[in-house]
Amino acid sequence: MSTTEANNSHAAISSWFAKYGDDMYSWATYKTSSKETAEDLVQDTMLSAYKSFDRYKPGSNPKTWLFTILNNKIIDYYRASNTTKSINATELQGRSVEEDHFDSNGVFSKVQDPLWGNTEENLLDNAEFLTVLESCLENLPVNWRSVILGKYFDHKKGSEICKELGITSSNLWQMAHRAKLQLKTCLDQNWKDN
Amino acid sequence: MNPLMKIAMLSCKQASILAAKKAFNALSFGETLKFKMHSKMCSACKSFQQDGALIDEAIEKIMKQKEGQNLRLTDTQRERILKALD
Repeated sequence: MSTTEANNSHAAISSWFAKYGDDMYSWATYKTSSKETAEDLVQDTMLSAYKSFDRYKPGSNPKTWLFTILNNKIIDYYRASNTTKSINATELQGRSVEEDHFDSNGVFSKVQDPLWGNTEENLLDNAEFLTVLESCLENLPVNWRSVILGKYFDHKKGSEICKELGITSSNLWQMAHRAKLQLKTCLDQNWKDN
Repeated sequence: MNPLMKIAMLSCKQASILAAKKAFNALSFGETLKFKMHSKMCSACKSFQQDGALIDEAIEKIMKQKEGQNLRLTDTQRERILKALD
C-alpha cells in the first residue's frame, strides 16, 4: 500500500467509524450482552477493515461490509468461549438445572406453577416482567444465549446456528431445552417472589 | 407393547427436549404424535409448555425493543478505538 492509499483508507475507515460506530456497538452489545466485549469487537472490526481495505468493493455499501466483518467477529467470540473448561462448566450447569426440575425418572419433581398465575394480566405488557427476563437472558451461559439469540433475534434456522457455533443439532436442542429450564428457574426466583 | 404405554414412556425431560426440537421445526411425525399425547396427559408438561411459549414471545418482544434502541459509544471509547487504528 502506498502512503496515499494508506491515507485514503485510513480516512475512509475513520469516517465510516464515525458514521456506523454506534450501530455496530449497539448490535455487538445485544449479541454479547457485554459492552466491554462489544467495544473490543468493534475495535477488531475496524482494524480488520483497515487491514483488508483492498477487499472492499468501491461503490458497495460500507455498512454492509463492516457488519459482515463484525458478525464474523461475533461468531469467533462465541466459538472462542467454547473452551473445554467452559463446555465442562456449562455441562455441569445443564445437568444441575435438569436435576432441579426433574426426578431420576425424568418426571417434573415440582408442581409447575404457571407464570401467568391467576391474573388476567398479559405479562407481555408488563415492563417489570420483561426487565427481569432480560437480566435472566444476560445471565445464561454464552453458548445457550447465542442459541436463543440466533433463534429469536436473528431468526436463523437451526442448521445455520449449528454451523456457526460448530455444534450438532442434538446439542442445539439440548441447549435450547436447558436454556428454557434455566430461564424458568430464574423467573420463578426473581419475578414471582416480587 | 400397548402403544399408549410407549407414549407414557416419554419422560417430561424428553418431552421438554422435544419441545425445543419442535421450536426448530425438527420433529418427526412419530415425535410430534408422542409429544402431543404426552402433553395432553401430563398437566405439569402442559403448564411448562405454556410458560415456555410465553417466554418465547417475551424474548421476541425484548429483542425487537432492543433492535429499536441505539446505544452510543462514549468519547473515551471512540478515542480508544481510533487510536488502535493508528
